[in-house]
Amino acid sequence: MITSIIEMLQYDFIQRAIITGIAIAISAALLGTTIIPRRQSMLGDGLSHVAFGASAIAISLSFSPLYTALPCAIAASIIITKFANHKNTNSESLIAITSASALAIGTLIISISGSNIDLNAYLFGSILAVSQIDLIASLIVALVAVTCFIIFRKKIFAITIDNNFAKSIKINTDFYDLVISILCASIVVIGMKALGALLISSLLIFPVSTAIQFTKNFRQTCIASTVISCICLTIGFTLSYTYSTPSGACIVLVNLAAFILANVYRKI
Amino acid sequence: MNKILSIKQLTVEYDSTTIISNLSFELTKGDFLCVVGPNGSGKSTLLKTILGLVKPKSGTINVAAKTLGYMPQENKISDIVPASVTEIVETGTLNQNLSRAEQKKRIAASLKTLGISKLRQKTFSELSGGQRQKALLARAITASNELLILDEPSNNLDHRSKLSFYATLSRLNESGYTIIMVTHDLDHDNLVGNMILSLDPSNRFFGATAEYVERIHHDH
Repeated sequence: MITSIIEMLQYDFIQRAIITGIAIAISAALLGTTIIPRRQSMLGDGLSHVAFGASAIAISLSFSPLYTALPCAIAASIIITKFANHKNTNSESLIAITSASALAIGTLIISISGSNIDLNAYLFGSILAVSQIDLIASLIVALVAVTCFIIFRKKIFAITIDNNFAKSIKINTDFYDLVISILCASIVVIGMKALGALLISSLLIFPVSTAIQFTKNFRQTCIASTVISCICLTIGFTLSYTYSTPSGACIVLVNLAAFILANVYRKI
Repeated sequence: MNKILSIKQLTVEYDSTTIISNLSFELTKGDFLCVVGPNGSGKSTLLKTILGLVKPKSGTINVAAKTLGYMPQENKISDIVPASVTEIVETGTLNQNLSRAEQKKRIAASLKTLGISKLRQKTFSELSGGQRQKALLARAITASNELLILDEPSNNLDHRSKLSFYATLSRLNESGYTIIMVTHDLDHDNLVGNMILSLDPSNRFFGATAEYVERIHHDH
């Protein structure tokens, strides 16, 4: 394993992909700690499908997929989060409707436009597709996410466990919801290239779901999720490189193994 | 008289349905008000309107307290991600511009007041129903030393835990807190507070608890 890591790190595109992946893994794990308790686990899934649909439109119109998908996903994220806070809205249904519709639009546009884009690369990810711009964007997102969690962790926690209490002590919950929505959408759009539209959302869910099997408080959960996410991503990338298998699938399966191990550990 | 809350001609609508209509009452510092009434009579809506979470259609609400300590129903807390009692109580100190030392002091004092100092490192989901209620009350008293707003705090508690919880509330009231509590428990054996607001549309009442009890006896 260590030999494989050293060998693959000699390539520029692998270095780029791993740094981008780790930046996304850290941001996604942190964001997962606030998304999962608010029963928005499938938000990442919905946003990735929106990003996929927007990318399909961008490619068919010869626009940049990143610059088209990012605002679309941010808008979708803000709308979903806004409606999710409304008492009469079922956020799970809203996410499912958005997700299926965006995927259908994307597939239809690719089919009609006769574009020869590699659908598999968008759906399942490719480490070869990670560009210098993706690397810079992922580092900016990670920097913002980590800074937010260092400075505002307690307020984010207050909003996460009890939004009404947070409002009652005059925490600006709308502002934090907006920041979380923008970060989620950014993570999904930037990470989609490496992990694929179908698998990127797993980075928001798996590390936190694994961590909460043995953590005792929110602070521990934030730290453990981040560490687990980085370790699983590195192992997944290495396996992907060693056995020439899709990176997204390998990372998700390593995360699944970690989740099962954590559950077994908890039961012992 | 030190007015801490003044509500005048308050009307609240939800989805074009009037929940609270033309409600007026005032509380002075040190009052302990129980808000009663059947399901759907607007008890929780009234609390949320006082807290600023729900906008009234008309009327005015003046709160003289600088800070409010809100305690929601226990099942409104998300416990999917582990949270320690200290972390939960600590959220009551946010937005008060306290130093770290002052925050710690406030948290320790609240835990001590409610007799749950030993539980400070426990995960919220591991606590019993009564302990959870005390942790949430500790958060509320950390957030405010003036006015507590409690939404059915005795839900899911057995009779003994209820009595213990009400005794704690009475102590807090005697120490100077003004308390507004929504409750379903209008059992004469465990009546708490000096004032009652009944939002029962057929029997609206605001006044002293003793007067309300007398009125109920008379009606029966």
